[in-house]
Amino acid sequence: MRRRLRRAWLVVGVASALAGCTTYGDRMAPVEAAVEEGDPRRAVELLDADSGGAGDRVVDLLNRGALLRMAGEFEASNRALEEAYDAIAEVDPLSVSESVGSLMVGETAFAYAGEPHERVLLHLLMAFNYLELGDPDAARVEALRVDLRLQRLAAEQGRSAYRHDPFARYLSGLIFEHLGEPDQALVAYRQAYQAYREQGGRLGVAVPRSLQLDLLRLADQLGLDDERDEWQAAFGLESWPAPEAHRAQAHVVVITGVGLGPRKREQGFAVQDRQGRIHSVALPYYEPRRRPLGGVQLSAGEASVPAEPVHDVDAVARILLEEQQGVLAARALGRLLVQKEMIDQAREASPVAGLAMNVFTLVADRADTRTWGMLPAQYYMARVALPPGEHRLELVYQGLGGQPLTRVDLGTLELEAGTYHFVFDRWVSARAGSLTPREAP
Amino acid sequence: MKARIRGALVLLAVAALVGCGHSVERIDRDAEHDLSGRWNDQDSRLVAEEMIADALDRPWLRDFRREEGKRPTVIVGDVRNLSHEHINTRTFVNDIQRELINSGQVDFVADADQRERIREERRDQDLHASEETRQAMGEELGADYMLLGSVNSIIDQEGRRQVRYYQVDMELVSLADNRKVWIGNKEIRKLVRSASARP
Repeated sequence: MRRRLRRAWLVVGVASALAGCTTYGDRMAPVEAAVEEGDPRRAVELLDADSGGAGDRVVDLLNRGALLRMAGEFEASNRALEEAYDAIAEVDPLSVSESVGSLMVGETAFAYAGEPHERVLLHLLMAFNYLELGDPDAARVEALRVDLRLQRLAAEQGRSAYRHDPFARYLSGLIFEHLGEPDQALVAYRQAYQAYREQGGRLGVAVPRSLQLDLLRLADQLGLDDERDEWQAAFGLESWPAPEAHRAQAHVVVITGVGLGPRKREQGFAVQDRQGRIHSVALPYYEPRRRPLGGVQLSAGEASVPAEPVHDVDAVARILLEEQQGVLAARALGRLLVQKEMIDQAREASPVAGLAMNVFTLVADRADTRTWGMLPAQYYMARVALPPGEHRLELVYQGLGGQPLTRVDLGTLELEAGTYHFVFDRWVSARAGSLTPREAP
Repeated sequence: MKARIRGALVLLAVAALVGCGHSVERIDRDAEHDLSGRWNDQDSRLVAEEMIADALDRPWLRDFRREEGKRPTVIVGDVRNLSHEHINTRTFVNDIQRELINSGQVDFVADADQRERIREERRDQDLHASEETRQAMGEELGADYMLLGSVNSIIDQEGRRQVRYYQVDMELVSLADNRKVWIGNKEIRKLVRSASARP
């Protein structure tokens, strides 16, 4: 009877404690709802009003930076992202106290230091912001910083499917071309091509046609005839823009982020052993999200080109978590042994203390659901070469059946020959439409 | 006994609070404080001092004074940041201007943005200032040379060690005939080791 009563108390204690304990995903739910309603400014306020502790500083800053970018506050966004960059450097070394804490209370004891792809995307978002602010030299700094990051990524993630980032290389190449550095651009395009080819199958993004054309054109321009012939044979393309024709036209690069990054949730199970101890294992997983978008089309007067997928953030995040599951499960099992010992020692003092310790371990051991959720699920890029002059651009987001979901007037651009123009957009859902603030036409 | 424990606890709490306190200390301008290994105010100042000392010690200055019989007038053009980090080139340009002006060997004219603002003020004077105090348009001092430059970097990294190499290139170009009369460069190399563990 006493044993049954004790078990009942334990179940009640666990249930009530778990009900009162929120995960990072729960904390971000209202923020995400505000974004889905098309109000990123409100989302920033909600995030600021309920920011996490020191261990969540990096993830809060990353989300803040992405939200401010959505709201069109590019300088403030870069300040938040630069702070996140510094904070990552601070928490990157392994913490002794956090490691000890993680043995008792799980992965959330570790300060969040960003997933490998998030550390790369941080620089890309900053580069986007600098390009929006008309500061291509500062965007170039981000291209160089991303190169350093990618060198470390290749060394640290040698066995991962995500050991290169093709989109980061491709964007770097475009920034170099924008600044009139074709030799640097060619190096970046080559690396992008290799990375797309290597990862395309697993990460769901093929080598973009625009990158193939860039490689052929630049090899031509720099007089690398053998290399150009190799590219031609590899791509099966018969024609590409001649360098002179390229110089005579203006080049528009439209990059749009669609949807929201995957939402991390917790899944777990609890078992009771013969001694009455309850053990639980909680692991994170990414909740499946519906992809409502069939494609994106850019039109500029008569010209209309499809945007190509260039980065699948959602797929990269899922694969990285999948790769970590073995380590996370092994650490969870190690934690069970430590927790069992803690419960037994408390029991020796008194049964009530044992019970309390068991409740504590169950409540404290939660899956780490922190993630940079305010990133888009995918990035699309559209390239169009136009004659110098005024051009009005429109972006059409299409549903799975090809029907238009959202039409976005990107405004009128005054284009000069031989120049690059970067235009950005952010689309979350058909309901919210484009979140990017634009001046009325 | 209880009182002793209480006392020790209070002492511990005070010590902890003192340890966590935020503090500000004024430090000497010349004292070396390189916290992160990134480009800092001291790098900017030292590079500016050394490069301008080198520039003023070269034949172009003597040649100009001998041929023209006056001090050359210099303007600072673009100093591009081509490095791996966001460097505030404006403070570097300010350091260079200060060194040049304080040398007393060259005249210095305002840059393009400042000139626009000064012209706006002259236009305003044309309407509102008395004739005796009004400054006339078209009397500006034209520069003889433009100082251009860039900050480049190469970073070599292995594990938690990084060698950061900065190269600052400056050149003085004659506005009359595009001749480059002086080219200088200064290199800085730093070894940065980041911690592999923290408390």
